[in-house]
Amino acid sequence: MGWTWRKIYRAGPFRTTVSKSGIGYSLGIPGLRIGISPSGRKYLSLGFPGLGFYWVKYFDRFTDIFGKRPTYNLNKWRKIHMDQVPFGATEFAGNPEPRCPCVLLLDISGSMGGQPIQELQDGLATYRDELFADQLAKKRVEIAIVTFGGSVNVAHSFSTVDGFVPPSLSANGETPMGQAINTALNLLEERKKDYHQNGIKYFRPWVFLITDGAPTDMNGPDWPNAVSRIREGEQKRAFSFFAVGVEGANFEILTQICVGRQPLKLKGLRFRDLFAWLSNSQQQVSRSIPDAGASIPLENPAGPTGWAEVSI
Amino acid sequence: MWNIIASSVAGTSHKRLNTECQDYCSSKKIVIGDKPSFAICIADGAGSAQHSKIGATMAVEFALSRIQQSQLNWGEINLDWANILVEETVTYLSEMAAQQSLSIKDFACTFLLGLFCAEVGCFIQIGDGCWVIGNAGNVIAPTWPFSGEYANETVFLTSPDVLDSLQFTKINEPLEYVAGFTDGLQNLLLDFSNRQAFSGFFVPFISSVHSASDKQVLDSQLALFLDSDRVNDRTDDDKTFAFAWRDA
Repeated sequence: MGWTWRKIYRAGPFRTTVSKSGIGYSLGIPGLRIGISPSGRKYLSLGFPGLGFYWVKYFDRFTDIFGKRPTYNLNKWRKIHMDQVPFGATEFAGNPEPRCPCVLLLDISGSMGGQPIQELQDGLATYRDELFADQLAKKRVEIAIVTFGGSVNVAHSFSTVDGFVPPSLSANGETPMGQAINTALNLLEERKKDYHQNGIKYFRPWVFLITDGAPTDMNGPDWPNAVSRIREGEQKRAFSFFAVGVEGANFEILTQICVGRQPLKLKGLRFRDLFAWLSNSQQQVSRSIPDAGASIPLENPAGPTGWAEVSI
Repeated sequence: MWNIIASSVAGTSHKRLNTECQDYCSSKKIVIGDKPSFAICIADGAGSAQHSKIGATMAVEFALSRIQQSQLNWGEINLDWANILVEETVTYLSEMAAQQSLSIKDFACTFLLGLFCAEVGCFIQIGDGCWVIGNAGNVIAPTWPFSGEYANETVFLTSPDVLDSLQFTKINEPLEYVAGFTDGLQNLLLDFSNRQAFSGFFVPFISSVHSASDKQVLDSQLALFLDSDRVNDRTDDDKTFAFAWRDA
């Protein structure tokens, strides 16, 4: 055994030990100490004060005090592990994800007050959560919300799911549906321009209207303009337009703006189921590759356990 | 001397829905003129088509047999020849569909065919996915994924007017390597903003392949790689990757 030396400096429970190996630090009370040795190894020391016996446990890379593996610093682990993964040295191109834009057109007129608007609010939270839980949908689906109740308001401009915060809704006023539809279609056109300018690919957009009434702006220019824009858009496959009527909605009028599909009637106030279906459908759409002109079969919302009935 | 590795792995969305991988890939050694050459053929069945996996398999096997039977030479391989081969393949699929009382649309798939030897290569593509080659130290994409206005729309072998969308490139230069892959990998391996192959992948990849001591293991390593978290974080589609290279 060779000669060695050490010097201990104490300051309350803190101890600094200088020795041939270097400097170590520790903290503790008689009989119990935790510290770090000069070589960087962390340790716990338990002993019998005064007797000179003690037990030391060193915490090395792969064990903690319970002998289990701790959670790794992920990046450090990846750097070590990369070399062992096949072709670990390769990188991937950073192309932006293709987007699936969706505009929600929500009726918040006075008649939606009370339970309907509360259920609608809860439905939006479900929508966000379901999409957020899907790794690809989270990056691909983009949501905008246009509300109409008294006035028309862009309650949420386009964002991906992680930036989507469902706005707080309150019911008031009449139903300027025509103006709202035009606002939504303008929003969509602007978004497509953004995509083109930035070289971002996108799936066929969704426009999803939910109402419990009838448009109160049918006599002005907004309504006929909205109807013709929807018909033209569907015919050119510029978007897919869906209309859902809650109890009290005027389905005859909704039929005017549904091309190739019927307006659906929400069973009761099952907004949460509606939005779960919507998020699931959008997840499917953002994956499948249809034959040109074919539509993607979606789970039937008017099936036996569905949230909708097909209106007559 | 050429070596080839290839792997097709079902996408995570297909695994979740319990559907099989709809990609099919095959390769053959053939003699074209007097030059020992290779053919790699890959097809990706359309998700919406009922029997797209069968369509993909039939298209690939038919095209490769047809090439083998044809006793070609490199001088004959041009766009006209490619058009004829594609028409014959489509005719074959229609006949098979008719026999089973199906529509040819049920066999919808994309189609990638690469024929190459040491000095020359030709690359045919219908739809998405891509070919990438190494030539004189450069990483080049002789074809490019086709898409319509929407991200999930492409053209298929079974589409009407398919010949209008046929991509054909012939390269009369020595090739160091050839890679073919389906659309599940295109966002990872291609740089869309600059419309070129992503060399950050291919340069280290060829380097790994050259330095591998055991070529037998490379096939299974490729399969592991295609099913790794790194790849599945970026795509949940089926992934097929075929890679042929000349010994350094």
